Amino acid sequence: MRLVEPRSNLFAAKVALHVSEEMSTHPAEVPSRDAALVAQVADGDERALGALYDRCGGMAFSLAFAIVGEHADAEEVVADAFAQIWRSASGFDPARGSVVAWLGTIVRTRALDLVRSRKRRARVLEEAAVVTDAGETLVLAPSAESPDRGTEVTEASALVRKSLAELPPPQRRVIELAYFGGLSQSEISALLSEPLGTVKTRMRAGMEKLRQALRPVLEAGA
Amino acid sequence: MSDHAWLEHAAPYALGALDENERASFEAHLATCDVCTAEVRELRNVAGLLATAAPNVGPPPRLRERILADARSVRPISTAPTDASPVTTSPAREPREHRGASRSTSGRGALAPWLAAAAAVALAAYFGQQYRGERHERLAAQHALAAARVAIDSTTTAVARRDSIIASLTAPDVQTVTVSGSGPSPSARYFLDRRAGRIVIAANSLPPAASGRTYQLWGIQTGRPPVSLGTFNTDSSGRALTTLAIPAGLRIAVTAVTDEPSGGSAQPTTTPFLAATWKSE
Repeated sequence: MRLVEPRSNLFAAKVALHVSEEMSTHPAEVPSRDAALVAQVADGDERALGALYDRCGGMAFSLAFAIVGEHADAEEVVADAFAQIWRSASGFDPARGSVVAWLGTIVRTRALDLVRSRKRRARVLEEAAVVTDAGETLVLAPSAESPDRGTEVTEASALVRKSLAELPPPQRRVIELAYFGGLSQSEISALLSEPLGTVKTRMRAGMEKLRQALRPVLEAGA
Repeated sequence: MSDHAWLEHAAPYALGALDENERASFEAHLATCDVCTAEVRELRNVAGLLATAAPNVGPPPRLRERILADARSVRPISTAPTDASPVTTSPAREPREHRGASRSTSGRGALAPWLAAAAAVALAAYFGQQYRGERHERLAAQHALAAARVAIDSTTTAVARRDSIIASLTAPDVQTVTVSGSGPSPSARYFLDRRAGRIVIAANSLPPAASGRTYQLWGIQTGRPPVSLGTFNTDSSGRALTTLAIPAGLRIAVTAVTDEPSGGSAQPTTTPFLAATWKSE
């Protein structure tokens, strides 16, 4: 993925994506540009698809990899996801959420389908889990950035990671198991041997905290 | 259930973590509630941002070209020239075929240059069409396969669930109790498989729990507080057939059902009914 220095902190606040040079420096225009790109894709504009990939491909691949745990599978997932976007971009409805959320949903759904189809969800989760210093098992490893890789981490993803990291570990865990593990509340309850009500409370509380913490990014992308 | 109570479903829904029956009822509610729809929209964006929290892993450089190549291969679905007008195909999309065709025709030297050019274009269009057609078929086949896999998965899951129920019903040491409610209608048959650690409840004439409510089955060990065995609901015909797991070590003496808020309660909050007593192991 091509990497470009974020032009401004404001933009960086939008998404953990490649920041293209022609983009406006006004953050509020970022989501509409995303949406405009998707509209162009819906019209069959191949260059727009390329631009969308340049902006979101890194995020899509990282997400797919976090779920499937293998490069080749992640590649399949992302290729399939973009093929789906190419075919059905007209189905994107900005009123229902941001482009990032929409694309994330497509990638995540395909990645979880792949994992489920191979009956290795449990194994992947097990391998992905790490035990933190506090003795809490989390699904995602604490993100260790490698600055030498010229990472495209922007402030938005940094904020998301920071916000996740600041959640009480039990809340973080249920959210990560749901999002990256594709587990339902009942499945999480069974996996953790915690009462279902506890899982539900933690999930709600954790999401509420994330919503507050991510307010600046959400408002920029509303 | 008030709209406010429904809002509790928004966060797990946005995370895709509602159980199937809850998801279905919440989606039905969403269709009529702007408040919950707005809440879901915002929480979906919160959940969407989680995508950016995945540790960075760079995609291989070839992936971009692959995606664009796949896109080119399916473009004809909407904008493809028909067989009658192949030359409208943009030559830029298949430069390799074009070059190949030019070489093969110009080598003969017998054709007038314009004819060679026309032939080249026609060949390019033909091979381009073939090429795209194959790519498209391959892609379509891949998608059909993926869809079939998902279908097989869900069928497998359904069959496994049915198998598990059958196993619980037919295991040699399964205990069975049939109970009727206090009123004229509801009844249930329980199948308790202590060894496998599961219980099947087959309920009849039990009206579905009210919106935002659920039925919860409890296992009670003598001298201890009730332990939740899980929640279930009946369909519109008043029937349910559900397998629930029994926590390890729980020596059930009594099972009973209560009506609880959606998602279940830590302890029963309403009067138990359909109570069955079990002889010890």
